[in-house]
Amino acid sequence: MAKQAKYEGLLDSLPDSIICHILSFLPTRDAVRTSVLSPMWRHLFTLSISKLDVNDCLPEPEVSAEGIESFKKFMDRLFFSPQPQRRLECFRMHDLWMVDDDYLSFYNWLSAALRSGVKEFDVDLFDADIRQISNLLFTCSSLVTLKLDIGGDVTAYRASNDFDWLIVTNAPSLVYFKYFCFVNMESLERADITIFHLKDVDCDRSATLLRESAMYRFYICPFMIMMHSSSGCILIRGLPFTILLNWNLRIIVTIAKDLGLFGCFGSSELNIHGLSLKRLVLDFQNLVYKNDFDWLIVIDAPSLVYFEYFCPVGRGYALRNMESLEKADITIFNFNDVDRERSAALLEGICSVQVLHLSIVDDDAPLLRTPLDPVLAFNNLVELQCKNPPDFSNISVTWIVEFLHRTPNLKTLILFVISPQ
Amino acid sequence: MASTLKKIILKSCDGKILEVEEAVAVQSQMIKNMIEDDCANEEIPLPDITGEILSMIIEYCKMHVDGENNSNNELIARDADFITRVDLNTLYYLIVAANFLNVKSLLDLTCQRVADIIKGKSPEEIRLTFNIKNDFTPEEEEEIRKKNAWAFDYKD
Repeated sequence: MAKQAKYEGLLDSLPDSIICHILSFLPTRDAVRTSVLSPMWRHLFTLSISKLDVNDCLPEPEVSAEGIESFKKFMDRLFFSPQPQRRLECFRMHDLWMVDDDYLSFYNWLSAALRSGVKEFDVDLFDADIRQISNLLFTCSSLVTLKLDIGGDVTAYRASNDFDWLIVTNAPSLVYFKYFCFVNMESLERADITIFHLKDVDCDRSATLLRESAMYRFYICPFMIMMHSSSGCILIRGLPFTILLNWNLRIIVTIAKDLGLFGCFGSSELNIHGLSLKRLVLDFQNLVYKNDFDWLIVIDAPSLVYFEYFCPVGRGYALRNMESLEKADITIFNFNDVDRERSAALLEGICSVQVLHLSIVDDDAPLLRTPLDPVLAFNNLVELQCKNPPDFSNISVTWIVEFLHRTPNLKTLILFVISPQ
Repeated sequence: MASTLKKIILKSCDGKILEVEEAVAVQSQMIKNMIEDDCANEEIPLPDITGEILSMIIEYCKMHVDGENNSNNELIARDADFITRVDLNTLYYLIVAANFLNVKSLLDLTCQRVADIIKGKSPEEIRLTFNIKNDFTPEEEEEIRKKNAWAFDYKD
């Protein structure tokens, strides 16, 4: 308890802890300036710094060389002085002009900040190499909000044991996505992820490709992605349009109930293993050319209730354990002869469904023969809605008749068919 | 029912006695602890807090208890109105009292207010405002400024 101050300088007589509390409300630069007030104030500011915004300290590049030098030393003292370990709440660094060529110091500061119990980490990396800090970054357990800007585009995600959302967009340098896989994401509620991974052996070529098409094509890593989300959903969305997948993607979902994959194409195997999944959306409608999509789709989702599929027909399907499926919304486009057989495997996989909305874009053949396996029966189906999507009026309904033979318990049939016949 | 109307009796250092509803008094973590330890049945002497300051603190706590259902913005506006009416001397005594009574939101509010006054001022202006005596020799001061030249380089 401070003594009742009788002399004129009341502020001075406050206990150090309160003065530090006052200083903690100040921008770092204002706090540092108090060091010159009087000997008592000399070192108080160092104890008060909990939010460090580097660019707030040096807002303009016009600062003198002496100023920059002194700032670097200040940062070194702040992080590496032998005094009690620095605890930071927030570390922000957006403009790297003061780094100059001294990236080593920069990485050291970032690493020290990540070790300081920092909750918010907001850094633009530009030309810096994320690998220098990725080990720390993706295992930092104190982090609540993580914003990374790599290569000038915004990349933001929250990470840590308290992961509650994760968003990564346009992160061409983020070749180390695999770290995410092993981050404890138990409290992850929503993940909106665009993942890059340039296959190691293919790095140069892919990097070029990426630069040319960075605005609309994204790479997704060939790694296994493990997602544990206590609630909410996981969306893997190519922003703005497309994820280019040229490797096998294996997604294991153990807690999340909702998974959406949007705008992928490529030639690979998509393997979704979702014990907890209740809703699954595969929406690749942004694809223009069917040839870009040649996937083997493997789904094992014993709890799945809703399945939405808005894609061309893939190379093959293996849908297992879909008995709990209640509703399926299937739109298949670019349908041709080969696809008929392939799509049978898709329909076979969902044959226990109760409500089926089926829409087939048939722009090649006017007549759609039944692709169904003769033994295939939709015994649980009570509602069937068929339609040909807008702009595709060339459709015959004969397959629907065929279909009806296999739906002994159907109660409701809704047809939206525009046929020239 | 009786417990909700329970009054806590506070006595300031200049002998002023104030009766405060328990709901208001427990905004102070210190008094809350005393109540929990069953030490608040008699008047609580507050040796370093004058009646004037104590009334202000009770006004503040009351405002927060009454305003519990108000929107956050409304409370912030009321806080701002409360704190900007306060002169520097009073601000000091409020900080001391908020710290002693452990009223965290008031301590934050008052410290933030001091920080707002400091912000953007040159060291000379801060010294003037708060009557801080500069015991540094000009050489010492120059050395400190040099050490963190980046912070003294420019004016806002």
